[in-house]
Amino acid sequence: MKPNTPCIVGIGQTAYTRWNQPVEGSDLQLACQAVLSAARDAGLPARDIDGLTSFGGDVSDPPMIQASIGIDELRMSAMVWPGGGGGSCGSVDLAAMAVSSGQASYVVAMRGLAQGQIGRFGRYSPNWRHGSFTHPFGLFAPPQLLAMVVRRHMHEYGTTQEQLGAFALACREHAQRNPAAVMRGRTLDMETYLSARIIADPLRLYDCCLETNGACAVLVTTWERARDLAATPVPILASVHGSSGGWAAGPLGSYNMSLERFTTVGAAHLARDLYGKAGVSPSDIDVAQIYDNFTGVAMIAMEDFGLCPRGESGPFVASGAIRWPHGALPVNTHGGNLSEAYIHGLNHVVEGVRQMRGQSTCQVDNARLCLVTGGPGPAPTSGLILGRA
Amino acid sequence: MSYLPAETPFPEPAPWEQAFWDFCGQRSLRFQGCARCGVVRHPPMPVCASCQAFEIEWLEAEGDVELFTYTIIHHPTHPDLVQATPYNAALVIFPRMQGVRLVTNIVDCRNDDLRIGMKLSLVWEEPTPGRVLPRFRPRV
Repeated sequence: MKPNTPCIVGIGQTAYTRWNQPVEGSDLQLACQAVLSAARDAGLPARDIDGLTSFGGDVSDPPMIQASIGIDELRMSAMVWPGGGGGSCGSVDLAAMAVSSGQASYVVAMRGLAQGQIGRFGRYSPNWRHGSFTHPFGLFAPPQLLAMVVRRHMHEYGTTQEQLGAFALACREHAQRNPAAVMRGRTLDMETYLSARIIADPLRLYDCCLETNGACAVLVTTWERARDLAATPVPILASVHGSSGGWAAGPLGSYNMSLERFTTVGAAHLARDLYGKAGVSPSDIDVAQIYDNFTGVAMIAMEDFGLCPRGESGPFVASGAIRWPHGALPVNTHGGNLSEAYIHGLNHVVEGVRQMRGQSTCQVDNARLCLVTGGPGPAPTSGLILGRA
Repeated sequence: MSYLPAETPFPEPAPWEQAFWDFCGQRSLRFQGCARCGVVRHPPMPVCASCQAFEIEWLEAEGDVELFTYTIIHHPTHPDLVQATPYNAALVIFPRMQGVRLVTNIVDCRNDDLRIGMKLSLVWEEPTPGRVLPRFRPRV
């Protein structure tokens, strides 16, 4: 490991609750709790944090967090341009760049959401890019917008409703072992999945992620500094964020990305860069945390990131490959956005770290490489490969 | 009559989007093209992504229209559309205008009868006076 290799040395999270549960305090309070808990996990005094990153238009800005938790000297703060949860791994990418380049020493990537207070993403919002081309036709929210892509994927490749269901069931099953999961104690079977109400055909209720209150954070520093801290460092072998041509008018705009890439998440070039930088290939990945806003697009993301061939995510998922403990490639071992909590996918990074530390509640034996991906559909999107020290 | 209620939101178009809707008001479906290299684009953008020219022209949609994909919306997320559910939202392509996809609704067609690849004809609907929307019906 090079001295300036970025490593995650602390993870933190608040309690996760459903959006309609009361939140004590505010978004800012949740954010501060998560940041402090990541610092505590690392054994780093909070005042030594000198960088903060986030994504998705997080409302808790770095100077407010700085003032709240008592950071004396902040050296960098940055946010991935809003693209919803697309920037989850991107916020860690920014932190990694900052510590590797020496701009800052201890950078926390954080995300806090009190959806009951700041608004639910599943609701109508008047401020939507290219909304004048979608809203007049009754197309408003992510499940509706992305349903069109999933429908086309079904048409091109024969993906079935039951295959989408298999993804949802795997996440729910993994969540049963995770004490933090919102859906712990609420099991899901295929019959219940198939009889649930339709949101936007082909997406049914359990194809859609949760809406949650909560926050989480990861603390990033260099390998050199990590040795002086309490926790086992988890190296970030590669991190990327970006988007494909035309994706601003993509599946969350007016679908005018290139037609050849219609049933992708526009991440093929990012995947190529990610594996290239890490010096590994998709078949080397032991466990993956795939941002699951909706089953069908999470499955398409698995294709973009090479976990299965193009068009074959349906049979791959239905084969049981993504189920812990016996599947060849367990996915979303915390329960994902579908069944743990919707912390905009930063909770997937936290779970990736747990896997590399050997501390997941669905621990994959001898896991040495974990892929984490950002929100599929939006631009930019992002990805990480985590390793073991 | 209109496929969706008159109260359906219609956000203020961006300045470079306004001309599209002005042409719709005249019942003319036109897409933005680059006046220099001729590449057609949608939604309207300030610059041509192919040759970076700012000069534009507006080209009449022509030829067959096909259903590329669709969804049937049961959960509208907007209170004014609750009574309209389940309604379809569709994406159509213009094979003679590569690179253009338009979000719309398919009218005069049961949701169960929608088929990807079906041929469509343009119909104009005016849910409120002056607001004219391009919709499509199965071609007979």
